[in-house]
Formats: sequence, structure tokens, C-alpha cells
Amino acid sequence: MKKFILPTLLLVLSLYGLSSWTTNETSEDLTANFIYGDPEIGSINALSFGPEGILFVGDSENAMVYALDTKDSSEKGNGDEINIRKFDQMIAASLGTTEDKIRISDMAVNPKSKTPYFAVSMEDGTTVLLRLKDEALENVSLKGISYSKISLNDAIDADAKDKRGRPQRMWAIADLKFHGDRILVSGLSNKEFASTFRSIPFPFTDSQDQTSLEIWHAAHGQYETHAPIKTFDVVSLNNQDYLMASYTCTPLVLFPMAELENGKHIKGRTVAELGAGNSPLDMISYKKEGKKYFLMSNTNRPVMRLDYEDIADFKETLTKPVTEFAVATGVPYDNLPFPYVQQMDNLDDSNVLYIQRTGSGELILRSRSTKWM
Amino acid sequence: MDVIYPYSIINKKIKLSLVFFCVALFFNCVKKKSSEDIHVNYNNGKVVSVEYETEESSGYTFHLKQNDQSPILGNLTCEKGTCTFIPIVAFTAGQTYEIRKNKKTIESFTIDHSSKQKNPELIAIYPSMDTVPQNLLKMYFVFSHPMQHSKSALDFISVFDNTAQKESDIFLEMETELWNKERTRLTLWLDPGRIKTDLIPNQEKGPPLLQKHCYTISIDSLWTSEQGYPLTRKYVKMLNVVGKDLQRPNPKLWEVNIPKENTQNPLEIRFNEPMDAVLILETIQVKNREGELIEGTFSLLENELKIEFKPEEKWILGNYSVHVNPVLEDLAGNNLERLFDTDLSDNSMDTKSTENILNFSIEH
Repeated sequence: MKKFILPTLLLVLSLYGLSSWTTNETSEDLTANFIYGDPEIGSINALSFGPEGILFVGDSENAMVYALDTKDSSEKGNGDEINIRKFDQMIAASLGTTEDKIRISDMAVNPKSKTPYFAVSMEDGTTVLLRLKDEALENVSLKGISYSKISLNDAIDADAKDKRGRPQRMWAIADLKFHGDRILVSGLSNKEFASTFRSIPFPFTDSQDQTSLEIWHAAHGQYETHAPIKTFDVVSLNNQDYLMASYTCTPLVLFPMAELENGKHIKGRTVAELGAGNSPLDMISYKKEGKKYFLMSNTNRPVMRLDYEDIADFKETLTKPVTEFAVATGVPYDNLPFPYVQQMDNLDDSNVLYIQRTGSGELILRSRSTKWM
Repeated sequence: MDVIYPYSIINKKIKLSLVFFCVALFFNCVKKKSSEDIHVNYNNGKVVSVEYETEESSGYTFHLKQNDQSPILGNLTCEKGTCTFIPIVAFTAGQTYEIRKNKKTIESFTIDHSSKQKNPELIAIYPSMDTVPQNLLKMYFVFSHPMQHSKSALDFISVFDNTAQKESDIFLEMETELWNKERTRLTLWLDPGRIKTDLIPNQEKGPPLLQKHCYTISIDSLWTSEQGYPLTRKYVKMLNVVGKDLQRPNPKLWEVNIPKENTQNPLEIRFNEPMDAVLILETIQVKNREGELIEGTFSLLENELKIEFKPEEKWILGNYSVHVNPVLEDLAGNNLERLFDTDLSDNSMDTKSTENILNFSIEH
């Protein structure tokens, strides 16, 4: 037990420091090293908002993470009620094409202005960033914008140093989240069966002081592997932050954030099973009647709801080696009546925004009170 | 805006019923030119802007034909009687667009397909061999042109289990598809959770491939390139499934055919099993006794069972070594350090460390 006192103390101190940093840091401080111009984004694979309307963009094609100053930082208490049918047709029409030639690759709501942003990929690979204001779509220019960026290939990587010009190792960015003062990025290899998880300080620094590590997880009675993370979120349980990661072959695994150190392999603990043929797409947390819940949208299952208290009940086993096959059911979850939800984010404190393919094949963008979730 | 194709691609489609309206409009305020006055500007085969002449400089919007949705997003500038509209994404080939003023269509034009583009081909599928282990982990699909970004790859790939006579979903559905930077090579994983013994997906649905079964993978000809051109034809790949591969790649079991001194003949390495077609070319190096990299070219041959290294300069007398990065995987995802599916409680499993350096000498 003693060995956990120091990390916990450090975490508490860092959280205290973080909270003071967050409140004191101004928009000017955060964007001090930004430049105006064309960040040359190749593809948008993941979006996540940070403070002051700063939007983080994960670009698999260029193995880059960008911080964009959207200048959309006016405070708004609640998001607009949204109910748009044939949303894919609306986007396609505004881009002068048909819905079969576009793909909504991610959606994120600016927590300050409550404005939803959409990354759209065209058939030819052109990437567009749109936002919805007053039920109309606006283009956020990616050719002239205030930004900073950091390369994921700058981390130590044998392939990146290849003198013979052979291709660099490619990490498809699976998910990206801003947490505290850092950008967390999970990546999948398009070659070997492996993953990376990186924690990058923001504002980005010249020295590119980033940590890089591979995560190992042990689950299902002694089967161990490098298992690529598909999506993740950070959850706070009993005043400690955990990485909640969903894997390609094992569903939900918790890792104590305090143990995510540079180059260290850490073992996580499976907390929930989702069943075969299903993959989580988006994860969000929300409060309802004083209780915290965790929502997860899936490829082939309805939206699932987990109770934070149920997850916290697993804390006793989190730091112990996994030695028994005792996770067949894991944390209980509820299936909410929302199948085929493709994108999901918090609209405000009491509403969730999601994109759903309905039974009739229609793609809708809709806000919904967490009271009903 | 490097190439301009004036007039030729304009398709005049004004309905007769609108003629009188347009004539009235003409006399009222808008001195509209005919559609032949619309210039469509291309850049690298894409329509990046449209120019037209008018004496009015405001109030114009661009729309998809017969579409009531909001206007196309873009930038309209007018100067000296010429308006230029730059859409935020290039116009789509084959699509008809309308220019509207005050919600009335005053002109339409259709974007032609460029004749410069070619239909893409599927030039390789790895593993090349039809016979595969039951725990095959991934497949690569290599195309001649960059492929489209808007639809899921699995929309175009279907798998039929010929032995069981039914459709089979062996591949893992991924929101983040695994393409190379050029978008010419796709990596598909067979569902890893179903390959690993006793994971819940494995228990629920069984392994993706069944031993002694024969599968047909069909690649639909509707799969298009970035430019919207479909594959030249439908492609088919057969898989004949044999037992599991439960051995890690072991360079000590590879046969090395050593060239003679003062030649540029290739160093030949024959594996005891097919290797991952992409990883093998990136995980193997030849070094001299001093540990310096020997420059040269690797070629993968015989269904990924053999690799040749042709040096840029002639071999000289001395000791050399072949270095294999331990991340090299075989068809089942086993690398030099671990099996993909490992039961750590089973002492009989292959857990010994594997040598990753092969030494050889060039002789007279």
C-alpha cells in the first residue's frame, strides 16, 4: 500500500497545480506560439476540444497533431436544441456533392461556445472542417488559420531514422483527447499488430517533450498481447484519473493515469465485455441527479451506459496481477435504445449530441437531454 | 488553375418553361449570358473554380441541381463584370450544378469526367499463397491508384465460406481504416478477439477462419479510386485453411544462399514459412563485420517464402550478418519475441528467445 501513497500524493499535487494552471492560463498564453497560415492538414481522423476554443486535430496521413485556434470562444451556457434529418445530405449539398461521396470522420462540440464541429472526408481525400451555427453549416478554413502542430514521427522510432528512405512506420490515429494540459493520442500500426499511446504537453514545445509508450494488457486469464487501442476516455474514480481504453480484441480496460510513464509497459484490468463483432466508437461521461455515468456508442450494439460507482467497485483489483478468469461479465451496463449511433459528444452539462443512422436509413443529428439517458 | 477547358464541358439544360421567365429576368435586371460563357477551371484534374460574366455582382448562389438544401459553401468574388466562384471542395465529376439568383435558377452546367484518369487495379493481395494458417491475422490489398476516402473498405469486400455454403464476416470492422500514406495499400485484420483462444469474441463466434474450409474473398468492381473511377473488374481471392501456425519466425531455420566474392549476385534467403509481405521488407538489414549497413535492394519472391538482397556494390571477402528486427511477423502475427496467441500457463508453448542475427562469410 505504501508504494501507492507517493504517486497518489504527487497526483493530488499535480491536479492542484493543474487546476490553478487551467484557471490562470489565458487564451493568449495558450496560443502564444501559434502561427497564421496553412497547417497543411492531410486528413482529419480525430477531433477534440481543449480550452478557449482550441481544437485539436489528429492527422493520420501526416502523423501530426494540430492545435487550431477556432476563435470560437464566446461563452454560452447551453447548446441549441438540434434535430436535423438527412444530415449527411445537408453536408453533401453544402459541399456540392452527394452523400455517398462524403464521410463524417469525427464530431466534437466546443465546450465553451457549445458549437458542434464536423470533420468531413471527401471521396478524393479532401478534408473539410465544418461547424453548425443557427442550423446552418459554416466552413472553418484550414488554409488560413492560427495554429501550432507537432509531429508524431519525432518520437524515437527506428523506422523514422532509416537512411535508405524506406517508408516510415505509419500510425493511424485512432483517438485523441485533451486532458488537463496534455493531448493523449492512441495510434494503430498499419503493419505490425501493435499500438502506441502518447501523452503530449500543450502548448507544444520546441523540444517536443512528449512521452511515448506501448501498453500491454493482461486479461482473460493470462493471455497477454500488444493490443491496439481503438478509443479511450479519461475517467476520474475516487479522485484518481484512469484511462478507460477499448481494444480491438478486449473491450474496456482501465489504467491508472499516474502509471503512464515514458517507455513503461503497464498492465490494465478489463472491466467490461461487449461481445463479439462489436467495436466502441465514442466515449463520453455525464452527470445525472448527482451520479456520474459513462456512455459508449458502438458499431453493432446500442449505446451502453455504465455507472461510475460500478467501475469504481473494481478498484481493489486494478493494481493486482490478473491471475484468474473472472472478467467474463465485468461491470454491468445498460443498453440504451439508441442503436447505430456513429458520433457522440457532450453538448452541454445536461444534453448529449449524436449522429445516428435510423432504422429507415436516415442519418440524423440530434440533441437529447441526459435526463432520458 | 493551370489548365482551362473553355466551353466544351458545358451542358445547357434550361427548361422550356423557364425561358419566358429568363427573358423577363433579362429585361428586368440581370443581363445573363448564355451557359457557353461559363468557364470551368481545372487544377490537377479537379474543378476548382467557375467563372461567368455578369453585370450584377451580388445575390448569386450555387446549388446542386434540383436540390433545396442550403447553397454550396465557397467564395464568390466579382470584378469588372466577371464573377468567380471557388467552392471549398472541388466540384464532382458527372454532377450538374445550378447558379441561382433570388432562389431562381438562371443557369446550369455539368462537370465532365476527365479523360486523363484511369481505372484503378488491384495489383496484389497478400498473403499471395491461397493456403493459409487458421490463425491468419491480416491481409494486405495493394492498388495501382489511391483509393476513395468516403466509404468503408468492407462495403466492397465480401467473404463466402464455400465449405459451409454461407457468407462469413472474417474481417474486423474498423472506424480507423489502416491505409498507407499514399492510400494504395489497405491492411485488414481478421478479428483478433476471435483468433485469441477463449476471449469472449472467440467463445461467442468462434475463430474467423475454420480449418479445412475454403473461402472466396470477392472485391467488388464498384470500389472507386480517389478520382471516382471504379476498379477495372471484380477480383477474387481464394483461401484454403490449414492448421494453426504456433511457431514464431526463426531465422536459424532459414536457408541462406551466399554469393561469391567480387560479384553482385544476390544473397538469397529462403524462409521456412511465408512472412508478412510488408514487414519483411522493412525489418531486414545486411551489415558488414564493422556493423555498417550494406546498401542494396531487397526483392520478395515465391509467395513471400524467399527474399533476395542485391548489393549496390560487389561483395568483398569477409564476414557479414543479416539482422532481423524482432517485430517481423509471420502470417499468424507471431513475431520473433512472442506468439500472437500465448498461453503463459502452458510450459510447452514456444517461449524461448529467438536469435535475430544470421552470420555469413563471403568467400572465394
